[in-house]
Amino acid sequence: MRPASQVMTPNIMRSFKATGLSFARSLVARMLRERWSIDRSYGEVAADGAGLLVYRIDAGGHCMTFAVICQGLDQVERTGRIKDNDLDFHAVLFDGDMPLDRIRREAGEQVAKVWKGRTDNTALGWTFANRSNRSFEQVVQSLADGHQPDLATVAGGGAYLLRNAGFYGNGRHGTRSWLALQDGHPLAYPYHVDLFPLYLWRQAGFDFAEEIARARSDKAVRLDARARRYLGIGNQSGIGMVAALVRWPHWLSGFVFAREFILALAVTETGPLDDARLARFIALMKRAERYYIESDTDIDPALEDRASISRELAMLAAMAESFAKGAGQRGVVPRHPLGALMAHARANCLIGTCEQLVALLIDIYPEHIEALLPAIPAAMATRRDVAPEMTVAALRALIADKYDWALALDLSAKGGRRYFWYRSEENGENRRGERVIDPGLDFETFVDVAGAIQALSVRLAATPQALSVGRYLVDHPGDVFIVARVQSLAEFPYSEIHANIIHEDFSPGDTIRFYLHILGMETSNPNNNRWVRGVFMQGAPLPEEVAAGAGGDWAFPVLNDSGVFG
Amino acid sequence: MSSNNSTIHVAASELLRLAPDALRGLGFCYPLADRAASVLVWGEAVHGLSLRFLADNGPQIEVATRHGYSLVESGAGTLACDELDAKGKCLLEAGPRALDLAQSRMASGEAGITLLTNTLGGFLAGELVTRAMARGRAVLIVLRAGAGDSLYEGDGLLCGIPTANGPLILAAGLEALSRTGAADLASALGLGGPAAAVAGDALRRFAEASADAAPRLALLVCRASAAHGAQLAEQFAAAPVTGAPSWRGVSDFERRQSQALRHGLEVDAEAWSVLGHYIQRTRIQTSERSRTQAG
Repeated sequence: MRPASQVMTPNIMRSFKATGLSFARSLVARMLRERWSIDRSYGEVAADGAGLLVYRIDAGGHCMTFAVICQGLDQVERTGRIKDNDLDFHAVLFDGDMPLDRIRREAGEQVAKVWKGRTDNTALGWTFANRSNRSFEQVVQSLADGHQPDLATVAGGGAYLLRNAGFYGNGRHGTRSWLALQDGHPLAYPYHVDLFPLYLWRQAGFDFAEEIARARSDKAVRLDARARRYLGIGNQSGIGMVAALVRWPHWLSGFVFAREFILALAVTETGPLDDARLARFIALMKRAERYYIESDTDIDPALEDRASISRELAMLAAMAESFAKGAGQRGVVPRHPLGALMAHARANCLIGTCEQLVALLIDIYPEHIEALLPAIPAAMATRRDVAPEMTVAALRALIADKYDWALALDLSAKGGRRYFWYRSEENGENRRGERVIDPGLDFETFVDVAGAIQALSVRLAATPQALSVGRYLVDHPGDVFIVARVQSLAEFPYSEIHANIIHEDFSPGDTIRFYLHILGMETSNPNNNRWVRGVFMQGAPLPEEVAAGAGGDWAFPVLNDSGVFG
Repeated sequence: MSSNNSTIHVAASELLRLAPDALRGLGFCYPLADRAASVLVWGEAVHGLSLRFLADNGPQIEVATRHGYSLVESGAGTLACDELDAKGKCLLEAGPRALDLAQSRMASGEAGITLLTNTLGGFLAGELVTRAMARGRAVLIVLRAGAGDSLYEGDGLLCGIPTANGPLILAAGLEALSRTGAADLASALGLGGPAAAVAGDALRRFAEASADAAPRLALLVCRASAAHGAQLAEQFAAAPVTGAPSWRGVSDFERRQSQALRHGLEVDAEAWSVLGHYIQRTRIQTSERSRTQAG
């Protein structure tokens, strides 16, 4: 397996790509397996978009309700930031079948109070969305005029109609705690309750666009299935994700370990490879090659050189094809063909290409994905706690072993301690401030793992080595968090970001992209080093396909020569 | 949507998310706030008292966060018995320290005892029991409620043992120590003869000492022995809890936590508002320049 020292660095993490282990993909896989039905049970939308749509979901026998309200769409561009109260769409995901009067009461609370509203535990979460400034109106008008929108243009604009403005569940606003979802609940797997509304927003976006078009014109047409399949749901995420990753290292470990384990199995598999697996691999490579050219065309090449990645994927696909033909390089097929492919990529290709290759190698082993999926929530359920009987000497040895990367950082160098994270008074949004300029250091959000480790090491070195940790903490109670972190992560590799997060050169965008691809974002485009936008669910099967259990291989949706998905 | 004018519906995970910030607003440093938050949520889920406790005692809790501990360590010997003066620190922060200290003594012996004095919030002692059992340890707590602790109404014993059938939590009145003999109780927890005698003596003296204004706890932590569960249950049943209504139904701790997680909590609206006030202390006014660093 690749060591944490290689994998958990920002330059690798930012290049991680979505796989079948990603939470959005595992959610859709479950939806398909159980043939969830998503039916619109109520709809009333005016020409200006004002209205209500209600969806009834049957998830393997478990009922949920998704209700979306719109107050009317004006010409104002909405950022969807947490500080804003103006949003295009408000929605609630309820557990169970909800009557209209209950839905309207909830909508009233949401619209009137937004971030300050309260609900009860029948609600799994509140969620908000805004129109794509580039595509929504264009699509609506095309449909109203009686024809399909130009998908290539919509693709260039991000390939979505609605942009997610957040999901607020797991207790926020009084919604049900995620841990309260019993085993067997369709959304009991981590992040599925957060991501299912993205799938529903995608559908609601289509429905609102069609209803508005129909209200405008008698000759309006519906958005065809190919266009619906191609479009995803937009998303934009900021630096708060960095603090979340630092706060939950067991989550990080669970996910990355599963990835690296499957990768190790793939690259050490002895050839010849199964014909069907190799064929699927080559097909995915070719789709990925094309996807990198077609999608998100305005990503700065300095951030991700998609043209070069596409070329390199084509080269690797050709290499894989030679293995399939029994040819290989210089007429010899390597003993470990996928390992040889990976080694060739590392020696000759961009990091982005290598990590895309990693993701594809994982995806061609669905049996391993299925086996490893339960390991992720198991790791995430681990509780951080102190082991008070450990000696100071043993704790120091543990730090030297697991945190050598942190001890090696020169935190005193220029820029080494420039920033800090804090929560703003504007709805508690995460901000990054400068230590010597901005107020709030007293209430700094913990992200400085390296600094805490170095400070703890100094104090431990000055302590009698045979002293127990429990005794040490009486004199240094403020070390309880970092001590518990070190001890409880001893058996959890890939749990820390190997970087000085408060350094002036640290780019939050790197870890934001990492987190988003773990969640299952298909593409990610850093706006700058603090915000990352992209699209989820692009290519995902439509509700009618989900109900039929069809359309499982949906990564890398590509446009055909006519600019139509297919 | 609030339940009624005097309570508000809150999810357990919501409280767990907000509690660290509220405690930081009360003067806890981040590391201690993180740990104390789980104690606070436990107290609200199981007893419904944590938020009221914070609202009623906030200024006192805040002042005490600035104090250090005073520790008198016992010498090496059969059984370590340390005296930890919390200097007014509440059990949210002092409880875990006392538990960790007692448990740490097991590295060189079969048990450890911490006598924690001058603390606040005796009703939170049960969290220490559940924490110890989660670590695979048995724990016996003798609680002497102080007149200054407004939320606790009597003295008693709490005992927790992880067993193959699940955690066993028992409560009894203080007379369990005098009736059966404290040493017998220690033996029932699995301590060997000399250690049981030392532990029993320490616990009995603690139970018989004059009451203080501030709550005091004696924590004995030892290796779990499920075989002793039945014997302990019998001894505890012979000395039922007479006061301390919050300690009645201790076998229900786990069920009450599960209920809170599943259905949420109905918390005192005024106390929730006070929590919000402490949270707001940690929110920082933003400059335009720093606003560009948002996310």
